[in-house]
Amino acid sequence: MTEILRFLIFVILALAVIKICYTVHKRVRSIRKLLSLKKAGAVVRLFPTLLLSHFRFSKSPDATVRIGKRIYLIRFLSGRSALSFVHFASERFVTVYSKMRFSVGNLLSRRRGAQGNTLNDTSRQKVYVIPKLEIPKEYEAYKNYEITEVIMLDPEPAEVTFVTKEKTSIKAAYTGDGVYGRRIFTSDTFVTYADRMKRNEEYLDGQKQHTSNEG
Amino acid sequence: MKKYAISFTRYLVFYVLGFLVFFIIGYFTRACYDLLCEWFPTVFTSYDPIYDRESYERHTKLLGLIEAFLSLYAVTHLAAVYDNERFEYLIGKTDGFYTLKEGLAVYMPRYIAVDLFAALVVPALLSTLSLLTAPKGSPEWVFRIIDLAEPLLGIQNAFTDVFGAVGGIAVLLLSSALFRIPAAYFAVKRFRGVWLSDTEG
Repeated sequence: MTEILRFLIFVILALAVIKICYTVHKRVRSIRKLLSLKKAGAVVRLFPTLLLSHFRFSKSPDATVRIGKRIYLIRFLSGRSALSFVHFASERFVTVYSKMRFSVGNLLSRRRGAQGNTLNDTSRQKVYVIPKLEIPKEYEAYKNYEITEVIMLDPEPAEVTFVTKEKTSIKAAYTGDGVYGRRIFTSDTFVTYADRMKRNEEYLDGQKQHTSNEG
Repeated sequence: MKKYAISFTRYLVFYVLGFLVFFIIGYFTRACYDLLCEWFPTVFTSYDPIYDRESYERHTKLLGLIEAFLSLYAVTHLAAVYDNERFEYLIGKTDGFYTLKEGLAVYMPRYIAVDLFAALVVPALLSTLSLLTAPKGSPEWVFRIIDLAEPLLGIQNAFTDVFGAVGGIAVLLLSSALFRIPAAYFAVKRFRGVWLSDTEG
């Protein structure tokens, strides 16, 4: 019996180590991507809640990026694994399901009440409460800047859905979509988006100057 | 009354089947203790029943008490957390999304009395039944049934071995009632965020 226990303890510890390495590696990777925005002239600030946000949302942002005339307040949301899916139930709650929930056996069953049965669903869920974001005091001075709240999914889930504001339907959300006034990104897409927006601003400014010179 | 009946019968069934849980957990705790003795020999010591009978018996009683506490909680957890009636009530009252405080504010007013009732009445009933002894002139099959039913009282015997007859039952009732608090917490936590399409059938 002790041999079996020893084996079980080893397996559980090994799985835990793999899981921790996976999440930390992903988070570090996305932070490095964020820091790569410095090449485009961005000011990136990281907060100490960067890794803690795997467990819970904080009031303050995990990272802030000031690029061009925009300030992005980023909060990380752990997508757990590539199979999981994220569902924004309302402005306050977001759930991360460990896998998609298809209970085909229940749906086919003619047994009374079988469709309401949750016994066959092996998906585990974690509900996060999203507190209202507090803008850091240092950014109150930047009044001409456009401040956007960003939720960065990391690790990236399979799918993101959200309940619409009218509470009538559930829609899928893709990178850059607005969900309850927040924008959803993965680290890759956020970097390209922020860079593109900055270039766009520069282009528009250049065009304005051009037209004013002409006039 | 229906919720009282459901809660009572659920806890009764799980409590009676608790002797199985008790033996399984007992097997595991003893194996765990052996491992701990092997890894930390300075902290945990294994007693020899031949050379040091007294401390061996004391040690086995304490291990039995730990097993009884664990299995009692396991039984309470099964009875409270995997309960469809509670699940449907909570989901019906909320939209399935709440903070733990909000969930407990819905859950507790309905189930606190039910839980206390089941947690106190079921162990009290079975322990009073176990105190009854067959009269001297009774036929042999009565004694046989009592012998067969004795392993069912594994949890209770572990308590009475350490705290005595009255004290053991008192501790059993108290712990049975107190274990409802973490069970309620885990129930509220488990029901939160379930996929709502499951309840539409």
